[in-house]
Amino acid sequence: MRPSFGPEALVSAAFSRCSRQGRAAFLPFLVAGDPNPLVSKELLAAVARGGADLLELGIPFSDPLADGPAIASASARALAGGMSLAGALRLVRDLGKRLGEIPVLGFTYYNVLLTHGLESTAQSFAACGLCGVIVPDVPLEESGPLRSAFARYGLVVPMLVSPTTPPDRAVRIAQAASGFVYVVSRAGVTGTHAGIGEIRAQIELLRRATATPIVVGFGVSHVRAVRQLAAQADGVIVGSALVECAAAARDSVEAIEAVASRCRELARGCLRQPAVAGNLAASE
Amino acid sequence: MNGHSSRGYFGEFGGRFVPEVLVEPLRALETAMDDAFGDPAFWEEYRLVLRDYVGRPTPLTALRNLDAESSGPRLVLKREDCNHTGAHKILNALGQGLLAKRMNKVRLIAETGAGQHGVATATAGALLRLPVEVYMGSADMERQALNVYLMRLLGATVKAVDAGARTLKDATNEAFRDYAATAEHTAYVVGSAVGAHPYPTLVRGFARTIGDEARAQCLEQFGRLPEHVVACVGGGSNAIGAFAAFLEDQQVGLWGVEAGGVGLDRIGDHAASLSAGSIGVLHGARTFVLMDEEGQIGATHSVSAGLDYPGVGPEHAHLKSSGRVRYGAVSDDEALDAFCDLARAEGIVPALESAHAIAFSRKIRQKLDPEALVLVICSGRGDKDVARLALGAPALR
Repeated sequence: MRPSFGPEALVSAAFSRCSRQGRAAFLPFLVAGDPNPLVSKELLAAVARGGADLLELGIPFSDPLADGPAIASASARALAGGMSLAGALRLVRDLGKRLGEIPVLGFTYYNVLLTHGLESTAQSFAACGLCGVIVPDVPLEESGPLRSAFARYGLVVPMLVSPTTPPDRAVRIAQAASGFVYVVSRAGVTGTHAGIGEIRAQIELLRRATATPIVVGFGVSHVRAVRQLAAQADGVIVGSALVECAAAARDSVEAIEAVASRCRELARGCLRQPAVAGNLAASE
Repeated sequence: MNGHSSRGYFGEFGGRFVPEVLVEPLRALETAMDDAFGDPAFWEEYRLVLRDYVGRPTPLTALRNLDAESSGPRLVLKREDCNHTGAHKILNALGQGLLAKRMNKVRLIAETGAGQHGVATATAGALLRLPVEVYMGSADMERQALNVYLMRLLGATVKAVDAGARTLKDATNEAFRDYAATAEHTAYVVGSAVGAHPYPTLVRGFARTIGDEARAQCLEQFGRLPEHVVACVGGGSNAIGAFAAFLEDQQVGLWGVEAGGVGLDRIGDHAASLSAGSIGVLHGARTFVLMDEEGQIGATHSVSAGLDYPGVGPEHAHLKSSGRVRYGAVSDDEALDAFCDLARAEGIVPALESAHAIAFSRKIRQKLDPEALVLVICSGRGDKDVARLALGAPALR
């Protein structure tokens, strides 16, 4: 029996709340420790203020294969500033009330988790109040040990589906995922991108296969794309655009303000237009 | 075969730890590989290209003069330096190029460290009329300017990678990212027996030409199998290709030689993943990796750019664990000594990578029966290293 206030319930409640309010969940992504631990903490508080419904926190890895230049550079900056797995967890714990009820999920690469041990990492995640982890280099076939270690602590492990994933495989991935299914909107790596691929068919397929919320990410940068996706998905992830927004600022004060205001804009984009809201098959 | 083998495991090593977007392309590659490997017509095409274009078989040369004054057996070199383009890498590049053609791919990409694999892929692209883009760390481009020029001469585009230490690992990351977005029409020609399944098996399939030829040549020229086979290991393709032919011959001792750099005590001083690394996941495979206690991939150092890589092919990790192959390391200085000594004693200038295997063989030979047959894989020629050495770093004796 999972306690009703457990990580999985928190994640699920966040999606339900958004759905009741007629909007897709907004999931901003930032890299822990970018550009340094102090400013990073304020940036995370800023995305929380800016309307995050869930928060995806990158735990930096030296060789982030699934990430494009924006997040790869952010990871390099964070590592140069001394960020680590323990440091990222400490950030979340220290932010405490400033994150409110927003569920936080880690995003990192398998080697980081393996090095610290799956079991003990899951334990530290739970102890520091994180709700789960996304590991982009662990596909379904290799995901057993990861999913069972995190499930033991009530944590969620969302799984990724990509445009190259065949339908039968997409269904199996959706059934193995917990928390949400992470639909990658285009082939390639993370990064800002002008357009969004045709993913409506894939979302509809997944809807039929699972009641788990469906979230779209990779290459979502403009509020226009967010609006378009909010009509189809239960949540939208924006990462590279926020990382770039912070990196482009002249100083940390400006970065914090710019990220907060960008988040407010993107979060507003998650509000579904009445005309399309009727098309939704909500996950509840 | 164990329960893992269908997912591309060698014992507990290997696997396919890649973003979901790459799973389907790698599955398609695996199917095409199985199909091609089972098709005699594919192998016949490959064999003819090797004979008429690459110039195979390469010779087996018993050394006459090196260390002739001291006790111990003479070394016998498998002369991969005699390949067209100067190294064994062409075996793999042409094999994967032919497979790409068979899969109707219209573009080749590759990563390269020293530039040898880039040159080999550019060559294969020219021959097979496929455009080639090669990712190369900008630090490596400075160190290996000659190969950058060669690749461009052969019609390839060289894409500079400015991330990280700007070397092989960073170039590999970029090539992976390109492939993630372009796999539908692009073939990623991986340069060593590393990475996600099916690459370690695919690369071994072509590299084992080295071992199969050498084994037959030993029987023909010496009337017996060698007692020992020695090869250098970076990613480990020439070594796995050599070992593959001898794995079942339990009486043949197999030795892999890593880059010991300037010492094994500190991360960043060497590139000896098997000798001094720990088990992790890098570039899609579970294997021995050089990393810090946080799981961040470490810096590497070797005088030889081709061995300068923080991981190693997963089959080597398995062969180390099972004890079938023994792995050791030699230092930059030992390799440089072997490089100079072989040139002067035999008129053969080996690649600095190959010089590691030669240096190690010299170290063990004194403990061996003088009648033993020691086969050393000379994986490539040293022309590419001469410019850099001639510029003064480090000085020749």
